[in-house]
Amino acid sequence: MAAIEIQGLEKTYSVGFWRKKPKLALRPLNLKVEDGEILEYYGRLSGVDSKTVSRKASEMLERVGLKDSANVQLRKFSKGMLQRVGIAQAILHGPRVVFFDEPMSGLDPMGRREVRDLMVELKREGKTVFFSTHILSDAEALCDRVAIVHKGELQGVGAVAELTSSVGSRVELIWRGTIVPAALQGLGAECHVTGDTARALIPESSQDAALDALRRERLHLVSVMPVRTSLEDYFVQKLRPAQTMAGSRA
Amino acid sequence: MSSRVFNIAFNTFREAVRDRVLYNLVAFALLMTGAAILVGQISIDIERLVVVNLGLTAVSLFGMVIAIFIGIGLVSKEIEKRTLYTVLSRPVRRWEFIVGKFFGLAGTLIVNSVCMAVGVFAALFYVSRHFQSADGWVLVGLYFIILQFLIVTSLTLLFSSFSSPLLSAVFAFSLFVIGSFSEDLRGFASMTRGISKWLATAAAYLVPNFSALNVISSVAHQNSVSGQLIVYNTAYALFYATMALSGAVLIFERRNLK
Amino acid sequence: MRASRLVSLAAGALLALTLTVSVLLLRCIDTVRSGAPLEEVLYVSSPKVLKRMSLGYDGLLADIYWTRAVQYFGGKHHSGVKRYDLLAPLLEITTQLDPHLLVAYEYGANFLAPAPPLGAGMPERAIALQEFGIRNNPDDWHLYYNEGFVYYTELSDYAKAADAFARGARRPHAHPFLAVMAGRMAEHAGDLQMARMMWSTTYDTTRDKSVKANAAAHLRALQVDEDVTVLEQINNRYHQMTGRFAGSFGELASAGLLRGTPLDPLGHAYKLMPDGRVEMAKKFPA
Repeated sequence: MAAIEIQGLEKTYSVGFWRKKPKLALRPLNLKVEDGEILEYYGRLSGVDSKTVSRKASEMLERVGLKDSANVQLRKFSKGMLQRVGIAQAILHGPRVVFFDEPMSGLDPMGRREVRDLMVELKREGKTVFFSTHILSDAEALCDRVAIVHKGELQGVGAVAELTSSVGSRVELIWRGTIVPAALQGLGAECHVTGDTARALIPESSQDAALDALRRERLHLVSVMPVRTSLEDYFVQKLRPAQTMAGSRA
Repeated sequence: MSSRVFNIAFNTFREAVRDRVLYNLVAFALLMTGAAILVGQISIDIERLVVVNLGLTAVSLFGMVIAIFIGIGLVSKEIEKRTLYTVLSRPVRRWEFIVGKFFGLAGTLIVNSVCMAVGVFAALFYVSRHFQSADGWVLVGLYFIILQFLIVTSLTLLFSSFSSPLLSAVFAFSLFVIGSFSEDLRGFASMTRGISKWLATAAAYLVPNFSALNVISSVAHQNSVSGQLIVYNTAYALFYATMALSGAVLIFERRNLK
Repeated sequence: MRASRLVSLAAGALLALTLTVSVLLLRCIDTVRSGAPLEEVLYVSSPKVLKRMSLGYDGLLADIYWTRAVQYFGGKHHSGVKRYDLLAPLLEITTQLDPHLLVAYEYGANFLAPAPPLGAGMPERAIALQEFGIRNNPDDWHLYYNEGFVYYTELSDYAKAADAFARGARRPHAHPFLAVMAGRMAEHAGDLQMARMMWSTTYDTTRDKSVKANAAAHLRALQVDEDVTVLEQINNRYHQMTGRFAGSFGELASAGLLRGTPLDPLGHAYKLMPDGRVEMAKKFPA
């Protein structure tokens, strides 16, 4: 594990940390969750004083929605429940910066929703949340800033809008008929014909030329629509052939 | 710092208890009861001898097995199950982790031995119907056994800080056996010559000296233990355990935990 | 400096310090407990129990007891103590644990039988040890030799010694001296020649260093005995001739009784005493 140094944070206890593979990380500890033992243990190790630690532990259980799971042994917890215990232990001592390693992996849709809400809540409380994910829509929805890491190297970092605008935006044209004008191919358009309508994706800069070409052929234009560039487009463009992974920051 | 060491130690103790380690006390109780009843019936003079010999030997062996088999997993299991990362992502230093683990296991063994000691004295009372002053030396024997546990615990921690659990168990157990003959080893070293004398002497002084800590048959024969030996043995065990623990910290501190 | 570096340094320093102190403490413990491993001998009621307790590792345990026996005798011998009470039990335990450890029987014959300070002065137990060895190793001639040797040197029982040598001579690969010794035991009992033959057999056949050194010392002593006897006879003749004892070997030589100055086995000249006795210039080192 590399040492992490964060500017302006001299004291490490203001960092919360959670790794994935939650089953492995928590099962062997013969600690009970229901009375907050495991949270108290980690809380004490983080320097939370012993008077407040048990109150904080039960607050955390409530917050991550495990209050009702009393009397269930840790080893019988589902993956999602363990994930939530992991998150609870990471934020129990009120860190200003929290690291999550793939916090939503292996969760059902409800679980993902809850973890997302939790992260938004932390953000609203003014905390910095680092998390890694390869689900780009999560990053796009949650993050203020994202960093793309590929094969251990930083490929780009910035606000989502900044990154996506660096990739030229495109326009979708739809017209009636099955004819695709030859001039359109020359503009670098991707064209598809389905039933009696045809569709083309072209760079925004060639929009006028494309419309001219369609008019020349007297084709009946149905719609002209700008296509929003997603993080995924950016990602695919940036590292086309390679397998990918993203690190993001909310 | 001390509160973190204490927390890790306490947690280690709690895990050991939850792992049903203390169930060995049931086996021990059965053994002592059986021995007391049987010996009480068949022999007249040697009941006390047999109860002390058997009792202290059992305390020692049960404890050794616990020390070795829990000790080898203390570090490696936490790495394997990745709980170590969660602990070390707290403001916990690696040395605090090692030291905490040591005190946790040592505490477990001390609690276990104290329970067993009660059993030994109960059996002793059962066979001889009264206590005598020589029984005090049995306490010294028990105290020496606990000192042995401190050494073995620190050694297993040392081994488990760099090798696999199985190998650590083998190392620790062989050192226990060799250490039990360490006085012979030093005698043997003094009989050799030349460079092998140096090597043998170095090895003989490096292995833990369990033979001086084993006074079971002596106290069983109601012999006294000199106060000097008690002082020296205490100091020796503390220094040796600290040495092994420093070694464990040294290795663990430099170990790559990716 | 990084904190982890600091911890490493501190741990390293602590390691060195505790190592040194524990070695020093170990030396203190050893002085408090000198001879402590031997105490066990007093507690073990029978070697058979010990054998059972060794859980089948009796060979190793025998070696350990053998080391203890040698150390016990060597250490006591060195410090000039005249009692060797534990030597017999140590050797008995050793041989019961491993009845084929032949060197232990030889050690018993050489150091258990002789009277102090050379040995423990327990010839009967030495004989019993050999008998036990013979029961377990009936084909090894050394044990018969050891037995005859003890009968001859310590008990002066020449008939039994002759019997032991004769039995030994019939074993395969027996040393040829055994038959000779058996035959000459009756007629030459107690003479120097016999003793010399015995010790040189021991000297030639043993592989144990201390037994060999012991035999060499005896051989030297025999040589001195013989030399002194001869020289005193010569001096007596000189007394008869001149009415006084010789003051130097030169006088004996000029009287034609001796050639040159006789040297003892260590290479020193013998001393002529005024009363006619002959002595060694220096005692043998112990």
